[in-house]
Amino acid sequence: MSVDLMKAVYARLTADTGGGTNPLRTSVSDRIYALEAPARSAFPLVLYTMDPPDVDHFFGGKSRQTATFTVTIFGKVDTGPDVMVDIEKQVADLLDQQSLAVDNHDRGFVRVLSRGTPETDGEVFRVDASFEIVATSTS
Amino acid sequence: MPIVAIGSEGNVTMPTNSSALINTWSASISRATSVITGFGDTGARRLASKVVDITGSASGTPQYDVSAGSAVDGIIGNQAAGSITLTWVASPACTLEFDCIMSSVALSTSMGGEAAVTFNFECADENAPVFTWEETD
Repeated sequence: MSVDLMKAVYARLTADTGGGTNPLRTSVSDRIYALEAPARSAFPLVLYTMDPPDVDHFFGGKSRQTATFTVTIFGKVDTGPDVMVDIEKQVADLLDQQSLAVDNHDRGFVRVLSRGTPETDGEVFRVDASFEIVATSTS
Repeated sequence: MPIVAIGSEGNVTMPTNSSALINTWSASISRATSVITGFGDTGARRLASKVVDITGSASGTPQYDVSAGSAVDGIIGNQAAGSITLTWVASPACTLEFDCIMSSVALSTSMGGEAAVTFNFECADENAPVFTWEETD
């Protein structure tokens, strides 16, 4: 179940919104990863992680999954906070209030829970934004 | 061996055009009683009516984009009674089936991510409810 949700989020983050790419992909040069980035990745990059979904059951076997996921943007300190904020906005624009196609579910509706602000994490900036996705199984 | 019913084994089959995913129901079976205590009695005597009444509710989440219609079709422009089956366990069958009408439908939705519907139903006709309960030990 959660794999379907994570795939849907990745598909949206990497979706083609024009010209074979989207503003987020352009900003991070397609460096968008689940869980962790490859070793020695360049910056900036985007990671996303998902908490285990809460499950609400309905009679007849269908269930609704509600999962919180966090999108984290990492960038070098010399990138500057303005650029980090711009990238965070691109993430929010891609995800907030969007209805995503999710395998084995009716759809996955996403809404933003908290908008991120830049903070220093060692030698990098990071911005965490959290979202919620809700999807109901089709069987 | 007695088996303890678990709520999640339940189900409900709603009358036509009550489009929702439902995850809870409740019902109350009642009947009128009359006090027939006489002079000299030292305890209250009561007589029970043979006629039972059933009221209840079922709640869940509305569905749309389905051919079954909308969540309010059972109450708007629809006076007809329809069969409802309340299920404790599907197999072996432990169910209560009767004809009902919708007395009210409560709907809500919020930006917090909740959409809900509650159907309130009442017994509709003279037919006795059909109560099925697995009693094989």
